[in-house]
Amino acid sequence: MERQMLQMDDPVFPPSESKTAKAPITVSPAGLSCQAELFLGTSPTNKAATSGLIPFTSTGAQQLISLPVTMPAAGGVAYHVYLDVYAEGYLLLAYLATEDVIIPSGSVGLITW
Amino acid sequence: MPQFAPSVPKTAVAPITISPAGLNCEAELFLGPDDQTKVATSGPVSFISTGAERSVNLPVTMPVEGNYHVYLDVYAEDILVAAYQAIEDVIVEVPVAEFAYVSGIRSLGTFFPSLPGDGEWYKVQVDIKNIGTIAGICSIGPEEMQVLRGYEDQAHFQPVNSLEAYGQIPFSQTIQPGQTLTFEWWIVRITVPFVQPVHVYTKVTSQAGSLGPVQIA
Repeated sequence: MERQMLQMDDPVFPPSESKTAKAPITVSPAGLSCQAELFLGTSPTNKAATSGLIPFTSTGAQQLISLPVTMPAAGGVAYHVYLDVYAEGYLLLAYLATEDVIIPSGSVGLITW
Repeated sequence: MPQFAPSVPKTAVAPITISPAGLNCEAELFLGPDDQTKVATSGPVSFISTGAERSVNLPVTMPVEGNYHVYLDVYAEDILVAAYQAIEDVIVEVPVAEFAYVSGIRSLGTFFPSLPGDGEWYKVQVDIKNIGTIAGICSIGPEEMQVLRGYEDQAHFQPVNSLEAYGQIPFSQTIQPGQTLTFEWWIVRITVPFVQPVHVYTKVTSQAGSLGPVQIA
């Protein structure tokens, strides 16, 4: 399945902060056993932080699914945001957010007067 | 440890690295007894991160006299990404010129310059250093005492008052902070054959205090 682009704000978060993404997900038909996973990484195979698989049952209408993620401790990186949705164990949706999550880092050298 | 005068504007230059590039950043350097009390501050200084080190100028006007910790907070997109306390404090004090002798009184021996008057001339020196924080004028007041055998009860120190007359010895010199200058004066020994020997002593007073007496002949 080719990963599709998903609209998202341009968030900047501190390292290790717990945040919850809310994704409006529509899976049809109703009554399917579904799971969604949001993860941050530099590639789809490199999960720096993940919500894990969040289960829900499809309703055939849009559902707002909460996907809690603890931000990576490593700063100074712009992480891609991926969202995979499974229905009955099959990968149904694979998204890549249009904006990255930025975890800034900073350091200061010798101050001179 | 940096020392500055009160109310003087100074600029701290901090090499700051923020990643990734393109973030709206602010840095604030402040002085205070703790990180909750900003006695003097640069205020937020804005810059855009480049992902590499960049020098950020943080101007601060020095507060009243005291010792202050130096704090530096850096924000990226309003997130505190670096909170530092400098290893060295800043000392704010009124600058003063302070002098110290850095040598003893030394005699350079006997000279017979083509100067008015009779006798043997002794050139004497002492080195004085400005250990203060600003330039200042240091003035010396050398004195001499000559002890003639049989006239010991009449011996006493008196100012060396011939210096200006011969124009060779500065009474006062401006000394820069950390600079050492040599002060020099001459003493002419009385030559009275039938009361020889004559012992000559000198001592000096200045803003550095009193030094001597030492015997030079």
